[in-house]
Amino acid sequence: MLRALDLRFRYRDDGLWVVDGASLAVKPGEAVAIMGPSGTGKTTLLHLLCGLFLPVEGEVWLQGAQLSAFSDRARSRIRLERFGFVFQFGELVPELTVLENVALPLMLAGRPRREAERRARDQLDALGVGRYGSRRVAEISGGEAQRVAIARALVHDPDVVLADEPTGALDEATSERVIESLVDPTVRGNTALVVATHDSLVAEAMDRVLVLVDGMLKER
Amino acid sequence: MRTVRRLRGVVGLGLRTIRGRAGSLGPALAAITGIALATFVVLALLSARNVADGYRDRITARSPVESTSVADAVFTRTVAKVGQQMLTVFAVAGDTDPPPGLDEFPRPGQIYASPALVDEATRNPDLAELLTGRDVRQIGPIGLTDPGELLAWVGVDRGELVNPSGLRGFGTSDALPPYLRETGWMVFLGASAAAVLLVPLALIAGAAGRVNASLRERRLAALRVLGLSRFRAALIPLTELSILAFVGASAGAVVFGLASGVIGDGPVFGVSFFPEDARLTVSTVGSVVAFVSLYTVAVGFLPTLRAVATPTTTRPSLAVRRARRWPMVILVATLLLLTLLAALPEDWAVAAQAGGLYLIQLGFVVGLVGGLSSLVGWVASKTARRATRVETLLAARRLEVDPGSATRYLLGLAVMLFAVIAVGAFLDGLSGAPQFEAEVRAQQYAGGKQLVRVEHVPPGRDLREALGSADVVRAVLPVVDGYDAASGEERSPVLLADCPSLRELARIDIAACPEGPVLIPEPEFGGFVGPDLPEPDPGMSVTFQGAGGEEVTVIPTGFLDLGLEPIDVAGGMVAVDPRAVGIDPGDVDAVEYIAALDPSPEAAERFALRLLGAAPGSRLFVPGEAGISGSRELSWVSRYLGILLALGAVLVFVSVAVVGLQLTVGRPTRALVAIGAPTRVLRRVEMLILMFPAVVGLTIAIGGGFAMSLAAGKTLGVKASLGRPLVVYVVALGASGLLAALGARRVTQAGDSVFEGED
Ligand SMILES: Nc1ncnc2c1ncn2[C@@H]1O[C@H](COP(=O)(O)OP(=O)(O)O)[C@@H](O)[C@H]1O
Ligand SMILES: [Mg+2]
Repeated sequence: MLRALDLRFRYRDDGLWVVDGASLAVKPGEAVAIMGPSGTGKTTLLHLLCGLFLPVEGEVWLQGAQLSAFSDRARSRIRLERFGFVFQFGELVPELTVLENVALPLMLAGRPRREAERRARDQLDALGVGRYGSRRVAEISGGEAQRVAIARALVHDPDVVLADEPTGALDEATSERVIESLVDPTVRGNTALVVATHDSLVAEAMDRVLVLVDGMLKER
Repeated sequence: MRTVRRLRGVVGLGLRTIRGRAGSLGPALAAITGIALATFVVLALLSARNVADGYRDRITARSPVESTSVADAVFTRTVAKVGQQMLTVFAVAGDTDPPPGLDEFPRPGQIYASPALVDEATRNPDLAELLTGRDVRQIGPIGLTDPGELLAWVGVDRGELVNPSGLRGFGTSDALPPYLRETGWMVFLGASAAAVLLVPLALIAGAAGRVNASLRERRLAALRVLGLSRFRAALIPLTELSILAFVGASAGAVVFGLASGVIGDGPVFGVSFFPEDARLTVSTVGSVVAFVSLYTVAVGFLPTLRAVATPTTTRPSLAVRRARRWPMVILVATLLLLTLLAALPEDWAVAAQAGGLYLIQLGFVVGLVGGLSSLVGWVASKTARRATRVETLLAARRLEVDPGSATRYLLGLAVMLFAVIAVGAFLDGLSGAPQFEAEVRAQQYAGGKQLVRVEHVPPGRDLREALGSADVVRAVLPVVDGYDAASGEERSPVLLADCPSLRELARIDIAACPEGPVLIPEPEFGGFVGPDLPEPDPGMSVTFQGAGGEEVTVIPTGFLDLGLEPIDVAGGMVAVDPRAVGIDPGDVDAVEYIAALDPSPEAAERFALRLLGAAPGSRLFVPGEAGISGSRELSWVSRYLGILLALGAVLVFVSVAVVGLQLTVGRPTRALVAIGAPTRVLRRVEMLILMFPAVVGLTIAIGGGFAMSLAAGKTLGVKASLGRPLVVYVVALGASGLLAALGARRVTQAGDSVFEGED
């Protein structure tokens, strides 16, 4: 489903290679963890995988299509429709209600508001946070916000969900619930999951764990 | 002592942080530019006020004091238009102390002219008539309002003055034009100017403070963690702000000094003045710099403190705050009050406002500044619930939680618009008022004619020749006094005109004139022709003195409607074909003439100048004269206003836009870019966020402004007109659209860098 081969990337032309020959293949429905201490390039790698950055060398394929072959605009569209994102701090849109946040990817893709909100409500229910729909982001807890973010990442049935330190800002008990939501196959269905984390609790719950060392991915 | 040392440490830290921020020079420069501009405008305003005061003092000093008893000298005053300028001519006779600027009292045949008049006469042959054949001397600067003034004192014989006034010295404010005597509107303009200036300045200060604070919020947060109080932490951006303020204000003062050096005695935008009138003392300039600096820091203090307390990075906790109610209440209440005053009948309104109008104006501005964002937030919240498009939803929700950021750009514009509309509609109304040109013009040229009436003494026929030679004059007809032969009572003026001349005079088509003397009915003045009885009284006769001194008696045989206006003639007239009674009109010595001119303002102007040249002591009745006398001040005021607004607009645009845009855009879009929201959508959201408050705010501002000018107009009996203000409204909306588009462009840039330099 998502495949990357020999990715190399650096922020400055004369800088160090942050990602240096990383390769990866993720199957539908699979959950993969990318581990490594802070500053090793996990976030950078995720950005490469979704086409937000283009690699200096190497290539990323989604369903056999080469990401770098698309225009910036088309890649935005692909991110919108085929990827889901969960960030460390949720990055929910604070001014929207929880329901609107989850409906957002659908509305951005052009679905009518009513349909988008119906599907969003179903998704929130599936993750057990349906009752917070009308609240603002500031009015729910961090763990709940993260589960809302997961709902947002999944609402449009993406091919891949990329999660960057989804539990980084949470305590252990809350983390467990979030991890549960993330890996729950009944919720995720066929969607593949790539989680960047330095939290072994998260890594343990995944099907496979890769470690980012010196810019390269190694099986653990 | 310890506090002082600590403060010094903090200030030092502030200074160091300034040096270390090459990347954020933009907002600082914008703030400095804005503050400098504001200072410049304040100084220019003060200087303009000085000029206005000087102008008033100079007019007062040289205005003749009228005497009701017999006086040593007499005078008449005539005002004429020379292109866009005004010419004042005093015709004087007798002997007394000279007016200021003249070395002696003008004798017959002498003329004292202003340098600008002498200069202008070389270009304008009609004006040159005034100088030719006379002994020309110059008026000194103390006798003039400004170097560009067209003024003359002409010495004549006492017998050449029509209805002269006795002259008893100089120095009276009686002759000031109503605009300079009635100062209410000046307060009004001043208050508007203050609003136009101080509000954007406050916004700049606030924005600069916030930017300063948020640019280094991490460092400030770290300092606070280390135990620095919120107030102390705020001192760092505040130090920076005060430096910006001082540098900006000083720069403004320096630029003003340079500009006034370069300009000298003007003219600035067509307004000339004596440099010594415009000069500001060093202490005034110093006070302004100090005031602007202090004001900037004072108004920037709270926003800075707040920005330090809640840095933008912690914004994800944004929640819908309950809007403060009172500013909204003030806004709505003052708007209602203004509307009420505008709607009240005139005398009530005048009584009701009695000075309170300016308080209401102030209240409205306060309400606008404090309450507009709450109002925008409220409307946005209603909109968000119903929105079907994602752009509208995003924009409305953002405005709901943070109406302030977007509304702030707008506020300056809104306040300015309020002032423009209020003053502009008022001025438009003023210049459209019946006593002013526009309406008089329409009446003046009715039927493609322009009639003027001339009175002069002593009776003579040379004047007629002098006037008739001008190519804009179609006919000059003498009017002689008619009387009742039996009693000797004045009966009716007699116009000596044959049928072709009458046709020149008439405003309506005349197919054929009746034979013999005819009666020209004038319902307003005719004592003997009523509206229902437009037939000559069969018993009526008028007698007048013929050319050879003999008595000529005429009995009107028919009546002729010339469609004349009351202002054209002195009363109902009898027209007599001079040849029918054996008189050569060229031989008639009359004191009054009616002239038919080409229907253009230039024709009237040229005629007036010729007349002044030939007989400076005569009187000319031109419809629209009131317009002439008021138009100079009026045009100055409009110009002043225009300049002020242009500067205000620049002030608002340069500063608030640049500084403010730095803030709103960027962070909130981060999450959206990450999940793949198309740039197109983000741009539209940003446009909406800026345009939405624009529509709400500007509509309220224009409504308030118009109501204000209607209400203010009632004190002077002027009806405001909505024409040009509407144009301003459209332009303002366009301008905010432009701002919005600029802001939206930045979204893409923010999008490009959304993952850089973070985490
Ligand atoms: N925008 C950037 N410009 C330059 N260097 C960057 C940028 N973003 C990240 N880096 C560097 O790249 C490396 C990897 O960063 P990141 O991908 O964020 O790591 P991780 O997510 O594993 O903590 C770090 O050394 C970081 O300093
Ligand atoms: Mg990271």
